Amino acid sequence: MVPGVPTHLLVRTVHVLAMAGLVGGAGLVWLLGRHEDGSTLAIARSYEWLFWGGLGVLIVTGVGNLGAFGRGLPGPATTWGTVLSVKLGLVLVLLLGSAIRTLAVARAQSVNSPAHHRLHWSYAATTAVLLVIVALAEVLAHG
Amino acid sequence: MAERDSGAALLRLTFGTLHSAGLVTLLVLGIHLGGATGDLLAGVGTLPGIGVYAYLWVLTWWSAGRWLEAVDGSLIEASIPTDRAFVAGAQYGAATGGLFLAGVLVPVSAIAVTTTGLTVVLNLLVLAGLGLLAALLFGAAVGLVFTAVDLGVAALARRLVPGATDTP
Repeated sequence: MVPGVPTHLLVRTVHVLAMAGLVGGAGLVWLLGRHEDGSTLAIARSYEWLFWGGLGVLIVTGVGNLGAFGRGLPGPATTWGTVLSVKLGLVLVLLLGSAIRTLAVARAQSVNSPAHHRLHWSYAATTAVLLVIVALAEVLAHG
Repeated sequence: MAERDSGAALLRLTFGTLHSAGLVTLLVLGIHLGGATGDLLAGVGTLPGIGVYAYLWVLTWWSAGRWLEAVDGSLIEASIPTDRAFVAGAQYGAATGGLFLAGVLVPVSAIAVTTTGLTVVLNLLVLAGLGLLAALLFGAAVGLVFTAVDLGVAALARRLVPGATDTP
C-alpha cells in the first residue's frame, strides 16, 4: 500500500491512531461535561461524528490485524484466544452503549433537555470501556 | 431545518456503522469461537478485505437512511409505529443483502472471465441466482434483528434524556 512500509504495520498504526482519537475525545468530553455547560453538547455532538467514523476504521483495521496472523492465530481455547473473545464481546457492548449515548446526545439538543449530568457519565463510561479494550489489546500484542 | 438535517445525518451514520460494525464483529467472534478465523482470514488479502468492508459500510449507511425516511418519524423525540419499522427493516435489509452479494460477485465474475473462461462464469451465475435468494432472505432476517436493536436503543436514549414531549 505504501512503498517500503509493510502493510500489517500500516494497518496497525491506523488502528492505534483511531483508538487514540476515540479515547482522547471521550475523555475530553467527559472532563468538559463536569462543568455542565450547555456548549458541551455541541462538542459532544462533534465527538459523536468522530466516534462512528473512527469506529468503522477500527473494525476494518482490527480484522486486518487478525488477518496478519494468518493460520498462526491461536484458537479460542487458548489464553490468547480467550482474551480475544472477551475483547470482541466488549466491542459489541461498546457499540450498543455508544448508539444509546449518541441518540441521547442528539435528543438532548433536539428537545433542549437539561439532563447533561447523565450524558457526562455516559462519556465516563465510554472512556472506561475504551481503556479496558486498550488494556486487552496490550495483552494480545505483548502477552 | 439545518439542525434537523444534521441530526438525521448523525443518526444515519450511527445506525449504518452500528449495523456494519456489529455484523462484522459478531461474524468474527462466531468464526473465532469455531476455531476457523486463521484459515478464513489467511485467504483474504488486506486491500480486498478493506474494500469489502467499505462497501458493506456504504450499503448499511444507505439502508439506514432509507429506513429512517420510511419510518417517517424522529426516533429520538417519540416512539414510532413498530409495524412500519419492521416492514421497512426487512425490506432494506433484504436490499442490502442482495446488493452486497451482487457487488462482490460482479468483480469476481469479471476476474473469472479473464482467467478461466465463460463456462465457469455461466456456472457461477447460476449459483449466484441461488445465492441471491439466500442473500435476500438473510438480509431480511438481519434487517429485522437490527430494527429491534435500533428501536431498543432509541427507547433507552429517550429514557436517559427526558424531555417535554417524552413518550417512552
